Amino acid sequence: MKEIPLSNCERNFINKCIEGETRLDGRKLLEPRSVKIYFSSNWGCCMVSLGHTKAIAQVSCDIQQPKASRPNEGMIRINVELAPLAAQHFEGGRQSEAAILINRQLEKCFKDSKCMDLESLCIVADKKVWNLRIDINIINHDGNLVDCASIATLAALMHFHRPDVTSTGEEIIIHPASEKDFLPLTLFHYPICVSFITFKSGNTIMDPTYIEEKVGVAELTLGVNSYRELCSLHFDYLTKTMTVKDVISAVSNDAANYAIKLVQQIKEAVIKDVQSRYKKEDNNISRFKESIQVNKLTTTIGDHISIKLRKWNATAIVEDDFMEVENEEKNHIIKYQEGSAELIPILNNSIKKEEIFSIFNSDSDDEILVKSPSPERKEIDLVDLIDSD
Amino acid sequence: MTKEAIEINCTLRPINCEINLLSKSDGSTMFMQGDTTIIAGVNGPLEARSQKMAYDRVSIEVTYTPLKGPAKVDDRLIETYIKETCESAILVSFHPNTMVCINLQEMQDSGGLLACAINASCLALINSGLSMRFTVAAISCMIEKETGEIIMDPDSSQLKNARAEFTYTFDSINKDIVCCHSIGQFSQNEFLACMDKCRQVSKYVFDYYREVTKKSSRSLESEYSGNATCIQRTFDSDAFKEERISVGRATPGRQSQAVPTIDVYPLCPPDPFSPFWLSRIQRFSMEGEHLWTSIKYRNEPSKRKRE
Repeated sequence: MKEIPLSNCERNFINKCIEGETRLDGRKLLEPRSVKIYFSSNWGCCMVSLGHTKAIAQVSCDIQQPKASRPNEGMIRINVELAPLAAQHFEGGRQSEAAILINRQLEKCFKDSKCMDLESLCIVADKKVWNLRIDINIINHDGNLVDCASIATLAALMHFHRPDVTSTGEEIIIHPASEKDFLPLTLFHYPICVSFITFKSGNTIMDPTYIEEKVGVAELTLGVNSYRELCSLHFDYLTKTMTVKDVISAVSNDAANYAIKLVQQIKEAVIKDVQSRYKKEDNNISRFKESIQVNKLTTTIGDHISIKLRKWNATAIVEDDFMEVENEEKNHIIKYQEGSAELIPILNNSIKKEEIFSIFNSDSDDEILVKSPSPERKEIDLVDLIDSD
Repeated sequence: MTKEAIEINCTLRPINCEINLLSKSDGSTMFMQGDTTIIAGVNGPLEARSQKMAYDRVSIEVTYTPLKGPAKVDDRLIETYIKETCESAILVSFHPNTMVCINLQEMQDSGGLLACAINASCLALINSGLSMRFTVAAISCMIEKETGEIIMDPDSSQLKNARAEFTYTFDSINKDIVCCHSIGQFSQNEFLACMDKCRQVSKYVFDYYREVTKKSSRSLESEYSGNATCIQRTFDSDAFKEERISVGRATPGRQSQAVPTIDVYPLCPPDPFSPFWLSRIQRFSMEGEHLWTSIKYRNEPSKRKRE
């Protein structure tokens, strides 16, 4: 399906709003939406919601041969999927241009900024290294996919624990969780993306929504870590007519402040979750459940549904292998006078009366109706009443 | 056989759900059976692509995205099962030449993924307001390797010692089988016994659907009758086509937001394929320079209130 275009009315409305320094969701111009992070019960899986934008990230690992150019370093692969679940105009299957753009921005932010300790992922130099794969699926598209994906990636990487490995000369042993505790990844610094959109009026906003992204004239994404260092930068004109000046210097301070706050929030969420796992208080509780608010009207949270089955063992396994035996069991004997009426004498009467009713008027009908004892006749009476009306 | 032996308690894993959580889908749900979690979104009826258009019925497209990596054969299998199941459940001849998209995202798998996916897509269809012939409920069960015992709705740890694993889907009217999937070795009688048990259990899932729908429609009623506002604006212009209207409405199920979101939609011409126009704007006429709109919600809460 094609994307629904924005009408001129909407465009003008948003432009006017931004000019007057108001936003449709009541935020200030440089105010981000609230971030919520929920972890799955697997390692390295988390769902992040940035306002209505939602993304899920999963980190997985396997052992591969390293690249010849970097024989003692592990590998990272980032893969962003824009499925039609996010928005209907996204196509499934191969990566679209928008997905590749987000992918590249995340690679710049996480891979090229060298935030990961890749050498610690090496098992046997030139032979076996860990290969990390980060899958990011966007669930709902309400603007600013890059920020949401970067938060999800960082949270998943910080949360992920890989299996421990011991190398005995030739062989390597991968220990399951029961033998040795899984090890967390080492991160040198924590970068995240912060996006801005500049409008025709010259105003710049942080964390744009879907509709604001459509109206803006220039986009800027800064990859900033918690030490206020710039890790990646992406600037693009969305329309060809406008020239925007001095955006980067104007907003970089806000981006750095926001990044510090956000990284702190992610760290706290990860530490809280990891600690609760090690304490094993609620090891089997699904954490996605926490994303469902208890008293919200569109949600239900229930305890175990205990069910009672009447005929739990009544359908005991029959020795015979034929289907027909089961069918025969259902044919039970109908006793005399069970659920049936004596048809022959009443049938004659009812047919006669039916003829009479159709001739008579409605006044006399009611009297006969009361007298009639059998349900069969009542039905006929009803038909007649409708006719008389 | 004594009565105590007949009545045996068994537990389904807890079912949790949140409906209407995605803003871009017409109907959506996050469905959890135990730890197994699926997010499903339904879009439609939409304009169909020409190669998928069917002149007498709606074509259904299902996309299932796994958590890790690209979709594999198993994921395609789930897609096919959901497609066939929903084709029998939806009134397909009701919207000819259109398309309904059902999109699913795996969030977590701890057993019974297919059953959870079918249930999630059914609940999302209910939420989207598409006309359906019946609802469907999928139940999974397994036969244990050593004891031969039938376990309903097993989780991943129980599934490790399973000899056979079944997923049955039933319709809500006759409790007939709509879809069936099995793995492992079993005899015909075991198959039928499992089917019978699952059929009895399916009642609880149907009850759950009813409970959820009741709860959410009640919430819609209270919210829309209280808060729904329709801001009408007429702009100074001569041509009717240039006129636009903005409709402010309280978004369903988002009480936490203090400020209602404002959706702005063009008035004319209404796109015949847009579900927004079909369901919400009942009629609009022009009297002088004022535009009159009346908003009709899918569950028609105002009508029920008047009665």
